[in-house]
Amino acid sequence: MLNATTGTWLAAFLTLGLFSWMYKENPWFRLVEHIYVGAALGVLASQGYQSVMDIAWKPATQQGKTLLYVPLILGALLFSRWSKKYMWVSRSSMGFLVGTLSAVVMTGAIKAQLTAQVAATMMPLNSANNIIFFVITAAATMYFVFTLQAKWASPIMDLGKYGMMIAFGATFGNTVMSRISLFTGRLQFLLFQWLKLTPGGS
Amino acid sequence: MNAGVTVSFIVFALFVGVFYYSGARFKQTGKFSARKFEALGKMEEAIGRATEMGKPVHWSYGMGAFDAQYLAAFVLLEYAASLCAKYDTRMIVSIALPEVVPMTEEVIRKAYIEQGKLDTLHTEDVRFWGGSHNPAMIGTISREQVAGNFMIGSLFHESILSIEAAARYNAIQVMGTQNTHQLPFIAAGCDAIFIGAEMFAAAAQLEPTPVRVGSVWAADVLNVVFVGLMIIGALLVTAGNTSLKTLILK
Amino acid sequence: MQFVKSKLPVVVTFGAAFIIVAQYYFNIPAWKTLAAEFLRWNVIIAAFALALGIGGIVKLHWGRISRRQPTAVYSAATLITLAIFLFVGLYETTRGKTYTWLYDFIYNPVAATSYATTFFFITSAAYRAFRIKNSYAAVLMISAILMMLQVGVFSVYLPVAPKIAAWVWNIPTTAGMRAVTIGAALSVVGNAFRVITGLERGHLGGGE
Repeated sequence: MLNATTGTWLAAFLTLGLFSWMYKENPWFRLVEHIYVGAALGVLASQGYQSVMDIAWKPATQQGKTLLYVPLILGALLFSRWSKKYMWVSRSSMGFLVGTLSAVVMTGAIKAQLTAQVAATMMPLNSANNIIFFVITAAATMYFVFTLQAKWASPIMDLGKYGMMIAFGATFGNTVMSRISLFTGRLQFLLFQWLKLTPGGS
Repeated sequence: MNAGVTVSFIVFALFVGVFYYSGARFKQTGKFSARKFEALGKMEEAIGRATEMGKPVHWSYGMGAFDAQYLAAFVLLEYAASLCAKYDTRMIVSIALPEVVPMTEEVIRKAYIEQGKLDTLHTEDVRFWGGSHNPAMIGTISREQVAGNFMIGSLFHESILSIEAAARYNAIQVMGTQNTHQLPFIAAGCDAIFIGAEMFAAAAQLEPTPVRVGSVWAADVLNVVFVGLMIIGALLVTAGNTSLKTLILK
Repeated sequence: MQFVKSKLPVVVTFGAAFIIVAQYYFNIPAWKTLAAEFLRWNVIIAAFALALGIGGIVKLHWGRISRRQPTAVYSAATLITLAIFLFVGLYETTRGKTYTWLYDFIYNPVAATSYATTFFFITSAAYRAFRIKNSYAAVLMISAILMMLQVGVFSVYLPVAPKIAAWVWNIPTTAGMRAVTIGAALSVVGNAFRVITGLERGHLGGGE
């Protein structure tokens, strides 16, 4: 029963059900949506269980990696959230997650987002293209100086915002063209894999 | 010191210095003035309209990995939750990442406690969808016919779906991200947006505490310094001297 | 007890962050190992958080079923699918034959379709973008049109279009996007620093 043919029909049912939302929210879409929520959470739960077993529980209990009891305990403390009285116990686990994240992004941002980008913008101003590039980058960076409200700065910030709008528009246009191929991919599945139509119409 | 991080460390140290100095100065003078963010006003307008219509508002962080944008989003979520608590308006939150669930619950809980409305909090409205975030989000927006739609954080293609779903019900939409690949879509489809750094700086406008003001001032001062360095560096490179360009990467 | 409730989470936040920041700047091999370990721990803690999130959804749908709401049938679909995936995933692991079938024919098609539908909405987003609200929107629209003109039939009648598009992409677009990245860098640092030092702690709750 669980063969490719049944699977393809089921996949087609789900695909069309999801597409049907484009017309309006309807019972078919709603069913597909709810099935998918169950499937996605089931996938996550299975993977989550397996990863806890593989990377923490087994190494801690069978290989003597006792340090791994720390994240296991921190993880288990999160369950205190199911009790209104003791939900504060989970805060240290959240603190650990946020602390590590903040440290990683804080240290990474200065090098990757700031100094490397600024160095890359230090380019020879010997061509129109380089000058335009440089002016837009500098002006748009000034747009993010929020406390500078001097009159002289306003045209620079405006120029920067126009520069960003050009960037947004171009990215928009480019993505529109590339998404067409995604859509045709799903159409190909429905026509050729499910309905078994032959490309070329023979 | 590790190789390749000297300048980064100096920048960090300078940032901390300016941060504390500006914070202390603000404590003394109480003076802070910055560009107003239209998006904050739109958030309030959206919640006000939702209250009038008796409809909920919707919030999502997008589907991106847990990064700094979530930290900015928590502050804005607290603001939105405070308004929702104040006006007795429901806010449904769609979440893709599990680790964000308890933090979101705490942010909203704090807002409701501060408004003295903890008894009106709907804990079931914080919904973890995992990989099914997108269909579940558009389904929720459609069925609840939300009057306001906020999406702030690490946004990917789901922002387009969210905009489309909420636009069908004429919801007021406010989004913000620093993901450059999504900024174009939210700029095109929303009533107001936070572009990159704006969503971080908004905190100081919401509640100008010394730490938030210090943070904005420190970023501003160093941004101006770096634009200056950019100009000097470009002029030097034009003259054939790459010493500053090399130095900044050390 | 007050310390454990409100100060300990801040101490844990700061401690974990301090190790990571310190080993990033200074050569302390033991801390480097510990920092790498911390990042692995995050994955483990997040997996526990999964149970919280899933528990919330089960509670939501179970409530709808037990209250016999009109949408109960959909809630049942969620819970049954979740139970099937979970049972099969645990019983035969995520590498099993049945699990792979479920994954390939239920999970994957919807994920792919969800992404593919953005094509339609990009079209309506374009319509919205092209309602010119102000001069910024006008610039955005012109730039988008220039990019769209570079492909297909347009480029045949307008051979210069791909060249213009390439210029727009390489010069102003790269420059504008770079500024967004640079502009946000120090704001990221500021926000993270406030969180690490416990000066911003909304995510840890309050009121007690």
